Amino acid sequence: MDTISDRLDKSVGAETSGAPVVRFENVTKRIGGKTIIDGLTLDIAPGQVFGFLGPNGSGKTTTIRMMVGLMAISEGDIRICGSSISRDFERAVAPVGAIVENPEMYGYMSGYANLMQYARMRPDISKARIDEVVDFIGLKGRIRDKVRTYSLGMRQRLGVAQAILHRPKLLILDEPTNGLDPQGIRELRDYLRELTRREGTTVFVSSHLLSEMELMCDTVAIIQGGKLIDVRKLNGAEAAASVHEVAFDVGDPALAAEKLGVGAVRDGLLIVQADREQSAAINARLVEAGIPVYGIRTIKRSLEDQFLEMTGGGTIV
Amino acid sequence: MSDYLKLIHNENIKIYIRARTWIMFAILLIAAFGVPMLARLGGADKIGMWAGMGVLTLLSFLLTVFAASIAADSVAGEFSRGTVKMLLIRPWSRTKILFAKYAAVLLFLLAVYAFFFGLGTLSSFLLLGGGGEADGIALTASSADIQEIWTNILYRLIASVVYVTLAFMLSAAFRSNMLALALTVVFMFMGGIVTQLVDPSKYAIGRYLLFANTDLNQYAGNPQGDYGVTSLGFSLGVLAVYFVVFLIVGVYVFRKRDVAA
Ligand SMILES: Nc1ncnc2c1ncn2[C@@H]1O[C@H](COP(=O)(O)OP(=O)(O)O)[C@@H](O)[C@H]1O
Ligand SMILES: [Mg+2]
Repeated sequence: MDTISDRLDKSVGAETSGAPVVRFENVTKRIGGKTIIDGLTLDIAPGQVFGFLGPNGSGKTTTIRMMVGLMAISEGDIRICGSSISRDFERAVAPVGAIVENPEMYGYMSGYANLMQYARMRPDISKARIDEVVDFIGLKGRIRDKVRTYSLGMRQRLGVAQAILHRPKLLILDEPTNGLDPQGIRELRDYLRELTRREGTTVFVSSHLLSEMELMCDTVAIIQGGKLIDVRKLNGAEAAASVHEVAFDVGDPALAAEKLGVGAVRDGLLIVQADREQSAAINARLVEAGIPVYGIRTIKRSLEDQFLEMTGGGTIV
Repeated sequence: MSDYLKLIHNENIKIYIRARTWIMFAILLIAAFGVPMLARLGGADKIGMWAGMGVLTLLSFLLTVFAASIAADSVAGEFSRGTVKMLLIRPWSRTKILFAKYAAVLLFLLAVYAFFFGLGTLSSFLLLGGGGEADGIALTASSADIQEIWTNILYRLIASVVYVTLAFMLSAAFRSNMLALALTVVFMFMGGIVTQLVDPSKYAIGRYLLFANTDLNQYAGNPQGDYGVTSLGFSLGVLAVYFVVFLIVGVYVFRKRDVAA
């Protein structure tokens, strides 16, 4: 359960400032006369987890392919730490680590040999650093086995390892939770938090699942049909000051609603409209009234509703 | 520069880590010993080691096909496996990555030539040596026979480089290793038919075809070549042009195309 205090804790250090790490300047991609990305203009400030949310086929992977130079940009430009990916590729891509769609590995090599391939393509990545990363992703016991014997989840982990080996300033992950079990998703989320907090890494993560984005992102951009629809802060001061539906998991929701004089009961939870301060006050009153509070969760229904509405609901798989 | 050598090292690892590469070497080992052995069993041990080597040079097409299969897989294999997108997001331009691959392919070609003809020399000496006319001085002196064999091998190596470059270009252009290898092999063995249809001695265009120029050994007996209209220098020039064109096309297509693997 993701409590308010959890959320506040996570937003520490996520205050964004400074020159943008990524700058999309009117980025357009056309393939065979079809416009796949249409005039995308967006700045991504450093030190945050930035979500790129859109239904399947909305152009997330295409955008990421352009960010890392796998696809040419038809019009406009993408700058990473100030360098143009189309005109100054080597410099622009140097601070980037990425997984584009599924991480594909050399199945006939060990996990370690795969990492060595990418380590050799960068200056000064020590053996110690490789060991550290292997340890971190929890593949230590299997790293000498051939990758063809790995499960999808293990490949995902190895994919993360190759992306963070060189301590990238910008980490790009394309639907990274595909193929991960809930435990793996949780670990990934915690890890991304850690990266932004400790190393100041900016994380650009795409997903078609709003619920996932809400849990891990500071800011979310929503695209549909190749067009940017909305950019929204989820955590931090701005988000904390806004009123949301807050769900209280309490001993007796009906009694609690009666005592408070506000709120409604839904799915066995007490639902109240409140901002951050009000939530804390309500919690205090409930405890005072002798009603046990087991959990407090902000429900961002408004965003979810908006997302479903904007993206036509049914297309979200 | 040493950073670039690491890129080539990466490509070498991809080649030599695989079992099929060692199967190729095993086949070459068997051939390098088997052919002189057969010659000896067939009672031909009196032909001498250099004649034995002459027979081995006829197997050089194997070396070309093996190296072409490595070349064909070099780029296309990355696409079929999807690893190309992992490879191309490093701080190296596509051109540099492509040339690292090409360097590894050429090194492999040199390796199979050195392996096959090195072993061939040894086995020919052991199995066929001692009986031939020239053999008494074979390993130390430079006789015309010996010179001819090494020139023969060098000429074949040059043709192999062109075919392997073709396979590499096709691999980068079509991103299918089967297609790249199949087309290269067709080119290797189709030459005779094409040069009959477009006979260089009758049609001027024929002499500029790749096929009329790949067999440099045609000049061993006759400076005007098989068709009487070319020369060693002319053929080398034509091969050089094809070689450069293959590389330019390969680099251009590899740089240009979107990677959506
Ligand atoms: N190489 C391509 N050629 C033509 N259309 C493509 C190509 N790649 C993607 N598309 C189209 O572009 C749209 C966006 O695809 P994609 O970026 O993969 O979406 P997402 O990652 O958001 O699911 C889709 O409609 C897809 O069919
Ligand atoms: Mg996608």
